[in-house]
Amino acid sequence: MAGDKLLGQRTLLEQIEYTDELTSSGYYYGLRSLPRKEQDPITYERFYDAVHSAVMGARETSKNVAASPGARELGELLFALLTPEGHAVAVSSGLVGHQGAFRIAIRYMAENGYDRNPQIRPGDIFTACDPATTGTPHPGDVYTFVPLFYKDEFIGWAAGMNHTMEAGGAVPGAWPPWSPNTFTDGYLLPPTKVGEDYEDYTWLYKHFERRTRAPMFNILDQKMRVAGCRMVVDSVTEAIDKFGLDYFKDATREIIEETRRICSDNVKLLTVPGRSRFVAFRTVPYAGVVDGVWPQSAKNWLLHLHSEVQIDTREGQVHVNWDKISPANWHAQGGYKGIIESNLWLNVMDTIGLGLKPNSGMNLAVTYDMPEGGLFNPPNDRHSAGNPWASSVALFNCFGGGLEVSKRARGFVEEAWNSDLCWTGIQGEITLKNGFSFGFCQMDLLGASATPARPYMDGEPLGTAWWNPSSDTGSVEEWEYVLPGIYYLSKNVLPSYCGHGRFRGGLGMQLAFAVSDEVQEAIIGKIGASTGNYFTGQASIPGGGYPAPTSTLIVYRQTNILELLRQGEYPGGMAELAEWIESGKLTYTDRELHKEEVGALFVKPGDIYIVAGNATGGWGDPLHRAVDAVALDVKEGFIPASVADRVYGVPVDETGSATESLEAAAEARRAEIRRDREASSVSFEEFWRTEREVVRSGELPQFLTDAYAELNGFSPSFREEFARFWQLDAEEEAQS
Amino acid sequence: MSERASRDVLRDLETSRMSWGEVREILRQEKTPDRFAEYHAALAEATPFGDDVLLRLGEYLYVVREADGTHTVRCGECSHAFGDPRVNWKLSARVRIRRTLEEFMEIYHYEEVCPEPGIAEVREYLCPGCFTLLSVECVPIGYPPVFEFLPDLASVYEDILGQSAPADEDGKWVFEDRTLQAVQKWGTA
Repeated sequence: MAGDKLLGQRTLLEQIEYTDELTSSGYYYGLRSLPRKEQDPITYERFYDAVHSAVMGARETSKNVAASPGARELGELLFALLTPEGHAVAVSSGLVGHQGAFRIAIRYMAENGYDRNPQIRPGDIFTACDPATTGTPHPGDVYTFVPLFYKDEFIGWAAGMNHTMEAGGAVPGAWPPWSPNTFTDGYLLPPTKVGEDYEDYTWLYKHFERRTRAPMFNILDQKMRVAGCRMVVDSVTEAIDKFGLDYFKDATREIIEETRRICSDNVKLLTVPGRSRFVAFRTVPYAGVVDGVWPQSAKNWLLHLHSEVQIDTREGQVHVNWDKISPANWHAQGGYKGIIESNLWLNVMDTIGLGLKPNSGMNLAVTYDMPEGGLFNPPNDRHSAGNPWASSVALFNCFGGGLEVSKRARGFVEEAWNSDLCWTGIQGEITLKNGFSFGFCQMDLLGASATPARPYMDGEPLGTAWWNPSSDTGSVEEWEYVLPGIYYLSKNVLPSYCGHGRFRGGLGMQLAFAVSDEVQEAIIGKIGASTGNYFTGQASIPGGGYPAPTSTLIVYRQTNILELLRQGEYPGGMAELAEWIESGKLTYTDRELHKEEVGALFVKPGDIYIVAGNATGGWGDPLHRAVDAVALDVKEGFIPASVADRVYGVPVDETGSATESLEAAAEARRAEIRRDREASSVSFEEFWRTEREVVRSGELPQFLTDAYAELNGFSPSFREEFARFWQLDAEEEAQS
Repeated sequence: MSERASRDVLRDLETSRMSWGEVREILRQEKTPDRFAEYHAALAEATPFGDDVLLRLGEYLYVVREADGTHTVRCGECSHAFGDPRVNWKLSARVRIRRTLEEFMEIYHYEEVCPEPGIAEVREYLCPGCFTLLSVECVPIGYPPVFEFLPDLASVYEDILGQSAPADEDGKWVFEDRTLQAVQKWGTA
């Protein structure tokens, strides 16, 4: 080294401060020009290709060396090359949003003097999963960093992350939805040196064995991240041998600044200036769940997930204002800065991130305000971050929606969709009769959501997971191998499970399971951003169609399904199970319905549980849908004839036969529906007067009275708009 | 198909006359600054407003230049006028409220995935002229309407069209949300 500090003349913290100062110019690292790119663009692109290949190769290889099914089957992982400050230069495909959060862990290490103790040396392994200190959104997302040295000079980091299968929280799984504070979130590692010379310390594996319910998978994932980081280090070292160290140092900075410029130019090119607002609502029903031990959490909360997007096409800048968001509280759906950083860049990638090299340059074209004490900026580090992906995906769908309306207005029709798509997770713990016990995440509905409707086509089932451009739903066989003792009864789309419109949303999925008699006892949970519970996916969506319906969990207790299976009977899904119940073929003692998130539900052999989720919203008026498209939906079994008639105004029979007379019949039926709309609607002013009385008179249910009071108390801008909109006097305002 | 996204291509896209393969080609094409003009030309043909259409606000609503130089939100199906784009157009719409499980099930079909009666209400915003469904909200009872898109028309003219910003009654067009002022006019009698 040139000096006795990690970066020669600077400590790691001094380097971060130095770079921040340069970047405060508005240009990354103060780069007002890109000399390497401008002088020889071919070499510049070859260099980027070399470092991008390094992270892609690490991803594609390491997941087959050692990994849990979540990484191997669903591709829930990411590798990256970082600058010394933790800024991403190149990222693999996969969970690309995390590129924005890596720098939080690096800054934490710098601020706490890690370069002196425990020291940062070649081959060291640092692993982290504590959301308050590391940028990991929730404890199930685990980061590993390996410092990158060329000869003896520290020049950056290799980073790997993946969504692991079990986090050791108070309830089993990787997203504990019942977690009142950080101490019930799971095993939380602040950035920790867990190995050296590319070998993990033994204590780490013993820690996984003692503090998580899926130690084997957590050990495999750790080995995968280390193997991938080692590959990144080796491949980048080869690239530096070829291009030279000075070139590496210059080009990595230029690649980030280039991305900033393209992202900013895309704002100028793709959007219309102005302001957009979308909102989603989620519930956190904790009353009756944790009351005895955590009385501060014995409440039911309504989360107000409101995103205001301000677009400045002159400067090429997007600003997100979250001044109306709910406050942080003692539940698991809040989080820290890492969830914003991870989620924001996913959405930037999918909206204005066209034609760029995804990296930290995007972070400079989009700014945001999350108020102190807000849901994702808690007042102290004792708050839970167990399950922030559930609430934040809904929040960021609202951010995405703002850009979608703006892109459509600018004329980029092909790029627009209604952004109303979500995920559902199943997790829990199974104890077999032989005493073997294990925790799990089941990610069928994490790796593939239906796509939302667009201005020109329907959504598709299982079409995407925008948080992971290389995702997959996984195979039934793989999940049955991960979950011995649980049988799949069905995995299929659920007819009519979507938001309707001129173009309908993609149909959501239904998964049905039976608990086998190999099981002594099992715990299941259902979580995710699809859990609108009392509400739809978003409150309203671009295109004006019906928003997506909520996810749901249905449990039938003590059924005779195991006997039916032994007889060779095999139900095809919710509809067939309903028919079997109707005919008496399937018997049960109790039926439970859970639209809300469930942390731990005990199930026994013979129980059936069904999870439906990941429906998406529609686009436009259903009465404008092509008649033959409606008839085809009926013919294909995507919607029943009753929905075709009632929602779409197409009185088609159950066969879905599209005839000439059907067009005329639809025209008449649609005219009838329009007359019904006229008869059953009122002017908004009339509605306002009626609704205002409900707000003023205290007739709202207590849940909503409490929710408005909390929001009015936390957000001055919400309080002002709420009071002025309903013209509340001072006394009424105080009561609300 | 190698043709760039001209007005004809955009019209075909929005009327679903394209195969997925053709759509993919458009998705992959370079995005160019002439798109706003091409789209404007497509809208001028497809809407009743001709060249007076300025901007698409939603699936059925447009910002339209009026003869007196002001701007109005209008329905593309029937030309019904909703007023100043700076006031949430929902205040000028008809609205149908769904509150019961039966009403929710008419849309969402399954009881198990419906919004919660007594907590949520589904508002269907309708054009008073033609009763086209313009937007849907599922919100807590008592929640003010969402103002989804407030374009900055001064910047649209200056930054995108390269023209001077429009004037309004007070001089230069001001970018601000005027919804609350509009509600104020209803009084509380």
